[in-house]
Amino acid sequence: MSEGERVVRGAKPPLEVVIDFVRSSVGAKVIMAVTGLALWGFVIGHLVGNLQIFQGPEPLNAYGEMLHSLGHGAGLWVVRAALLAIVLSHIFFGLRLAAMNRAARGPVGYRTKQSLRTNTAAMTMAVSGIVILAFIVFHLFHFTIGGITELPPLDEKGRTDVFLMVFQAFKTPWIVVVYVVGQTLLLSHLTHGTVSLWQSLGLHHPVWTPALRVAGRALGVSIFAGNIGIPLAIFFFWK
Amino acid sequence: MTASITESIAAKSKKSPVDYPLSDLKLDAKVPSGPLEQKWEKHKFDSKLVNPANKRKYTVLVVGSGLAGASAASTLAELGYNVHCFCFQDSPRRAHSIAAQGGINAAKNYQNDGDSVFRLFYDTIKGGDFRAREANVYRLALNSRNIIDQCVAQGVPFAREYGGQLANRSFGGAQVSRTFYARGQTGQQLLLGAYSSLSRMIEAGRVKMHTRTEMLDLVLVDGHAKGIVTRNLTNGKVERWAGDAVLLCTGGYGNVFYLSTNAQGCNVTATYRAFKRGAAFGNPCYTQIHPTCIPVHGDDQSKLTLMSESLRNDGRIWVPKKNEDCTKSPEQIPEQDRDYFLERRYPAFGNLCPRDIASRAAKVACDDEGRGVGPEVNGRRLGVFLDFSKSIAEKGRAEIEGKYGNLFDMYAKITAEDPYKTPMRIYPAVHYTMGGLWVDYNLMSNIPGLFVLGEANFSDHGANRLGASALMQGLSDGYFVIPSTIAGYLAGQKPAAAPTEHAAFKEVDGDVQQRIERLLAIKGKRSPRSFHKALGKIMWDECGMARSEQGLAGAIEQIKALRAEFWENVAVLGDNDNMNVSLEMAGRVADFLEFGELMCLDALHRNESCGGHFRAEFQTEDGEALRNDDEFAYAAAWLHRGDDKTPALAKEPLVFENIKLAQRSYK
Amino acid sequence: MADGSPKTMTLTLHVWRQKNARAAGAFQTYKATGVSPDQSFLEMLDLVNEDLIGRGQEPIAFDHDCREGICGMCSLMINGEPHGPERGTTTCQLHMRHFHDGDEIVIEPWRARAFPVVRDLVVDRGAFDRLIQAGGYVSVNAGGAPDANSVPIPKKEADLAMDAAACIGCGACVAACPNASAMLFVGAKMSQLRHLPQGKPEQTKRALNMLNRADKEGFGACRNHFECEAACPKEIPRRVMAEAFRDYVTAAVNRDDG
Repeated sequence: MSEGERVVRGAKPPLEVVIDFVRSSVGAKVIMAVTGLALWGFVIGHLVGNLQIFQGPEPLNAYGEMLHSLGHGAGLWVVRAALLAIVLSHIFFGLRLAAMNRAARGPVGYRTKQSLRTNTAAMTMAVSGIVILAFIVFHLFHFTIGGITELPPLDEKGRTDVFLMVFQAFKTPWIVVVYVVGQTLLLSHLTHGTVSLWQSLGLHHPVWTPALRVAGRALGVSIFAGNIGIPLAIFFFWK
Repeated sequence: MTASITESIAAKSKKSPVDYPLSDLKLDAKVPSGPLEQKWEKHKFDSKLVNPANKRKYTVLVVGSGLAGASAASTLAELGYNVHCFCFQDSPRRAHSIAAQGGINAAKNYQNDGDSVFRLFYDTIKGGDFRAREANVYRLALNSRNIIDQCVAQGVPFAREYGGQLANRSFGGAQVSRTFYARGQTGQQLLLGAYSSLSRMIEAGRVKMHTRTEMLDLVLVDGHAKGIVTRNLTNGKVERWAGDAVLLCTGGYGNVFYLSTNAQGCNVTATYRAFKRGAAFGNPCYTQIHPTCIPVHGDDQSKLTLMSESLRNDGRIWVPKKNEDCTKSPEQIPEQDRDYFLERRYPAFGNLCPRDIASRAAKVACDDEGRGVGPEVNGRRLGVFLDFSKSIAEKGRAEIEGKYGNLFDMYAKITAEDPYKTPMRIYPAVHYTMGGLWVDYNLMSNIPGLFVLGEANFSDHGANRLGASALMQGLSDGYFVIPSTIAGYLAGQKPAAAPTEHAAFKEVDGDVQQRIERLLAIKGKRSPRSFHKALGKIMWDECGMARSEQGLAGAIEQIKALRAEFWENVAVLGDNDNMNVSLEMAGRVADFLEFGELMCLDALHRNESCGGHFRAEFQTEDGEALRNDDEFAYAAAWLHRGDDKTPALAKEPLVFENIKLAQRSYK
Repeated sequence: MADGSPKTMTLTLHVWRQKNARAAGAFQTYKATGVSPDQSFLEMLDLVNEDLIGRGQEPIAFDHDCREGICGMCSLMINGEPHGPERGTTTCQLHMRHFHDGDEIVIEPWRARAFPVVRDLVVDRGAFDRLIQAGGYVSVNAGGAPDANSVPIPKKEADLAMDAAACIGCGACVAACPNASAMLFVGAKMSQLRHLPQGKPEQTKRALNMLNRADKEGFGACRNHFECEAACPKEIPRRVMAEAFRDYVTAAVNRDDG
């Protein structure tokens, strides 16, 4: 292609295009969907790792050690940084959209307003999101940073005794309650999120969209069951 | 009723009681010379052009944003003119063109069934009962093909065949399949197409759109239309707009009957105000009554709903033979006691005879013979059955549902009756007005610079309009005719000749303000709607489907009395500083109250029956319309002479060089 | 519909009254008597207005025109539902037989920052026009279009386009949306044109321009509640919004901002 025939793509410099996209409501929405999808993936991975608790102390502690030693110790921090960025973007754009939407409703509200097709999960995304955030902070202090309960000593191989830490924690009733509440709101958040994100990403299909909705809901319930399964099993059944 | 007809027939030979002066105005239709097929091409070549660089110096005021207005405004803006467009609705997309269901005709001959421009031309002239101007109609048929091309290019989603080609259907009794459609929403899709083009020009800054703005008067400077005065419907502000030409694309006046298939806001004000400023009003008595509408259900009804006449393809129309059966439910009336009156009277066309004929037959059955069905409203049962039981039995419910499902649903929604089980009830309703401001071949009225497009003019449909032709005319006028013909006028005009400070603007502005103040000052007791309703009843009874000399003469007296009461007793509340719905309505009703009289006068003067104009005195022995080509083969153009004077009549003789005049027969 | 005078109803209406855009509004209560079940909702309001005029009070202003469900001019939030309780029905096509004698009905205007109240129940939906102006068209001038049949369009695509094109621009989607988003409206126009070859060339640019304009006009962001889909009197499907998001992202990625 000669110089004269070159197709000029848009007049704006690329950075400006990115800024415009990020600022737009659709851009924000797409970011919510992409980060939501990533977090959904994280939640699944997190659960799958944790379920090793049912195999006993050795696999779980080894798994913990493996995570810590990823990329000579740097890997975990890379993953943590990425997760933090994703969570912060999800929160930031979520709040931004909430503010935009509040403004868009205008100064006077309806005296009567019926919900026709939406559901409580969708209407309470901001609330469930904030509660989940609080839960995550609690969870981090609880198991990673420390300060909520006393952490157990290292295991016989010199590793963090993840198993014992979890086991001890979930013998405490109020902690079990916190986790069950947190997971219930996560279920609510995912119930709308898993349906919503495909639509936001522009994927709509007469057959696959309903199928994805069913699959998403099923997965959400599975995650909920798995996540509350651990504290409840420990609290009620393990001696 | 019967007695008055006999009396009138006896009075036929006597001199007509109506007294109106003849105008010495010579109406020049400016039809180009030469063979019919070449007139339009020749005319375009002969017309003067405006230099592209000069176009932006000319301002064109387009009133109305329906098919004609939106297409004209966008096209003129595309050409480079500076355009202002006005509509009374909140958006140009709402104009009533949107409600046309059936389709749009075009002589494409895609079906290879023998259609041609000449055939469409011929059908339109014949369907109009030989009361339209040949050259205009031919041009309409010619342009019909370009319209479809243009609309497809705009993204109008016409129905398609599986091979991807455009689908056609036969419509309104036409013997060829030339109707293009977009489900039952053709008008909507065509209007949104024109609206999208208009929107593009608004974005480009070439059209300035004024919504919720109603034209209340026309401004003439040295005899030329140079501006309008409007009222802003949100804040009452009266404003002046100067232009180099004014285009009235303001639709029809069917709402003079109060109940019609028109939108609530449709009115005659723009064209009637132009008439009062000197524009000739052509054939005001030609109104179309559509046979398949849902009957009136009660006294508080505001609107009649049309159902596509395609229903007549499979439905059989009947009433009980005996009057005493009229209160029975249709299932209780045995086959031998049913009168399928269209099949009986018109064996060749049966249920598919043209609109005017089907409508009148229903009226005769209900009004004259008292065999109407359905609920009694004001002491009358106005409805006939449209029965699908035979078609459902023969073709199966699935096929009928496939063809008419949406119409059946609509009917069920409105009436709460299931047309699959019980026959529909239908009755004719006012649907379209063929009359309008008189225009020449250039679509210019007798006022230089005042152009009239679409239903607002009188030009293309004669005394009766064929189905699927209204959309065609609006778009032909706007997309293809006016861009050529307006140049011929503007080329001879100095741009921006009269500013809004000109004395002529001040005077008209004053008149408008005064009228508003007068309406607000009456502070009477009776609502504008109640006057409108009363007028509608007079018009429907005396100037509706059948008219008589005596009835029309009486109607004129009744209208005069009603009008006098209006100006003394109308209740217009509120002020002129905010949105004021009673003031809007009162202004429109006031004009209808004058215009109704003009319609009756025209109907009274036309001593013949033709198309939608049926005079009881002029019918054949078996009750068919009897035209009088010797005396009435002309377009009647009425001229205002002052508020207390009868308008004067100017005649444009209709010359038929390409078609032989014949009596329509659908037997 | 049996013979004889049909039973009439008496209703209590709570109607939003507001003199103009600047004035404060409030609910007023009116009795509607002699309401026939065969009347449309707007005819019921006509009746109330006639009564108000008779008593020397200004009638209630509400938008309406065709009264056959196609012009999109009528609106009204009726007991918390746009166009009232019947799905797939505009207010003008809503009949009083769906109400009962003695019912209380709350009637409010559309509420959204982008739709300011003009008077009583009338709102300014000019923002919708400006969305179309941003790109809801094919840039083609009159004249010079090729023969209509020169480009075949698969029936399925034409039908998808028509499904979207059925939008009447009434604004019920915005009124119903918890976020006052105009996505269904914008999506409908974009979908109509993207399924037709004539609309393809400007598909992504249109997405960018129309959706950016929606933000500018103060409409909210879609959060996939699908209230719009339920409220739409023409039942425009949610598909059109997914298509719009996809086109927007494609446009941004390809920098189709020209």
